[in-house]
Amino acid sequence: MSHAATAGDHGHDDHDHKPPFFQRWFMSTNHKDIGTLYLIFSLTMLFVGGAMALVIRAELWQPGLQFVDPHFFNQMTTVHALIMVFGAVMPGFVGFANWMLPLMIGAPDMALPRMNNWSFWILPFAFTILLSSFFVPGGAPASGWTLYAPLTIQGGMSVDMGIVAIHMMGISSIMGAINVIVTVLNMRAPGMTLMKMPMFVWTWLITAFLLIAVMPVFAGAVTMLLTDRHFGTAFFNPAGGGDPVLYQHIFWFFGHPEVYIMILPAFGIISHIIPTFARKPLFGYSSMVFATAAIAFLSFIVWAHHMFTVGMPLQGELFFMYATMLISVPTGVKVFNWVTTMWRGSMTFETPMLYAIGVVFLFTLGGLSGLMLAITPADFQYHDTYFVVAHFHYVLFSGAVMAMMGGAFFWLPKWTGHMYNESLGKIHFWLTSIFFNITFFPQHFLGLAGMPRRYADYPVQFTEFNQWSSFGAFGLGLSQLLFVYIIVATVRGGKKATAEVWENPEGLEWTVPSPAPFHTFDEPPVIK
Amino acid sequence: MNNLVGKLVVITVIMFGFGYALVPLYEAFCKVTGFGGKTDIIEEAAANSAEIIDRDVAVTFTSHTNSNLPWEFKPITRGLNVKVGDVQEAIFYVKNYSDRPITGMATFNVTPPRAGFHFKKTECFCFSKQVLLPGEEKEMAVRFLLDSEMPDDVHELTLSYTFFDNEKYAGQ
Repeated sequence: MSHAATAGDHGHDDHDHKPPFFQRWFMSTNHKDIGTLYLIFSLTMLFVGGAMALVIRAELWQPGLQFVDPHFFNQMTTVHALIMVFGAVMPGFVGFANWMLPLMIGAPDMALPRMNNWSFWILPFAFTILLSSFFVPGGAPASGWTLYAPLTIQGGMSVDMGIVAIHMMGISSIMGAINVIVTVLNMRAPGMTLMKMPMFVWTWLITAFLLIAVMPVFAGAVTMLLTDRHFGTAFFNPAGGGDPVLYQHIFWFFGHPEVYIMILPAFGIISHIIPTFARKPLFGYSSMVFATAAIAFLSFIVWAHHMFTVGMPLQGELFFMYATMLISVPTGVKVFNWVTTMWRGSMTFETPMLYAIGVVFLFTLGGLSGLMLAITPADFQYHDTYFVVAHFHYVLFSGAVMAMMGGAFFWLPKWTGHMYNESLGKIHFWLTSIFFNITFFPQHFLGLAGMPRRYADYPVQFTEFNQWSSFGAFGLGLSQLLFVYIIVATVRGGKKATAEVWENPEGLEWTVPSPAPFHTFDEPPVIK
Repeated sequence: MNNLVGKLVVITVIMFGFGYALVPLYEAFCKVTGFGGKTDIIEEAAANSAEIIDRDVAVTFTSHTNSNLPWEFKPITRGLNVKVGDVQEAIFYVKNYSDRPITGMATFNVTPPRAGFHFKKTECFCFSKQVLLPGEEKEMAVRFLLDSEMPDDVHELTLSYTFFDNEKYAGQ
């Protein structure tokens, strides 16, 4: 009998065999391990970019110049944004995609595992190049993350390093996107039709198409910058007949779909959490799918609302204003679907649900300030003020980042096999959302009062709101140490999680044991 | 499956090319619509035979010099009252204060931008590069007319020039 048990153990061991440390973490082609690497990388970048945000907020604690000189301040705002966009949010969602897509569609792995490994390992090198630009003469790029020409035609070698880093990040995310599309279109379990796919899979599929449509355009724009700087072309340099405004058009042709790349997967995560804790199926599944596709389509025809003040014909301004406002229709469909899912549900408020409700509420606030910015004549007042800063932090932090935090708590038991500490999770939610609002809500008022963004100093009448904002920022930053503590503690131990983890959750990922074994769905599951 | 990967790679390459295609598209868009205050060109003969309409538009001339270019550049003709269809000439003054010959190139635009398309030049110093020897000074002309399509509510417009150092692009 003991012999039989040993043989059984051995068989299980073979089935779930993990390679040694170096091979496992550096040469991995396993979707779960690469997902973990992406998530760790994203969290690390969140802290790097967050530290830069705290330098900004420390300097803005009071008027005058206290800690850093204005040029370094500009480097902080620029690199903070580049790190958060390309280092924290995008890789974070790719991490979720790697972990969850194969589990959700019943596939054994991603379709292109070696490319998966490659697309991850490009990232540390890209960000090493970007961050080491702080140590070259003139310091890091200081032009704002948009890298507007003609300013970036003049910058030092750090601009070239930034361009190379962006090329690498672009290649990484394009490969990630191709991998997602091929996986989703080819590797779904038999019986899982497109309209049976979980929402997170749908949102990522659409995001992946956005990525391969616009990342190459951005790569082209920075390549033009590079050749303008060194190889005698004049795309953007008026001295040679170029046009700086052209750069803004090309950049925002990429830049606006980019903001949906950063939010659509968050919508997907929310669409999993809310039905689970409302104990009702997602309301209006097919309208959710079509709304996501509509948002993606509209994202291509609204770019110039970022540049209303460059001097456009009235017809152009009206077109971009109406097109932008049109986006609130599919977005509103989503928000109402989430609220209707909760309506008369048997709701409980575990940490992931708190995050999901927080995202629905706060993201919608960000959407509302976005509508205000879309009004062309009003935008002339708000353009490049702290109102814009408040707006995009409401959609990117309390939209994208908080959705990822909620998703992390939601799937952490599946990833680690342990339940996280629920009380600490709830404390983390309340600390994060309260400090977030203390940080960014006053920035609406600062912007309406006329405080411009990207300056190291400000007139004395803006002091009080800035102090609220700086106080909140340090609270928000420090609260994230608790997030790391909860994750580390959950990885190390805690109450054993069941396969289902939550009460009757929907989805194939809850049919595999917790923690999810190294290999899953070697035999495709049966879809009813 | 490999077929799908191939298609996606092709889309990626096409979109990279599309970024570059936006450059001529933008150029064509500005030319057709006058977007950005682009002006148009007209043949001297056609300009002289244009019908003159008794409608005055006040045209102001302004000039800027890029900080990299050690030139002085200013309009001698500050402003003109122009009848629609009448060919007029404005004179600009330029001097090279450096001790080396420099090639300069002027860019221009018209405000309000919607008037740009109906601002037609027969001849302009901005059509070609200007080379000034050390200390050289000269007067340069722009000949133009306002065509009959000029929007009725435009009563005044500004033609602005900026001179740039073009040495970097001298070989082209």
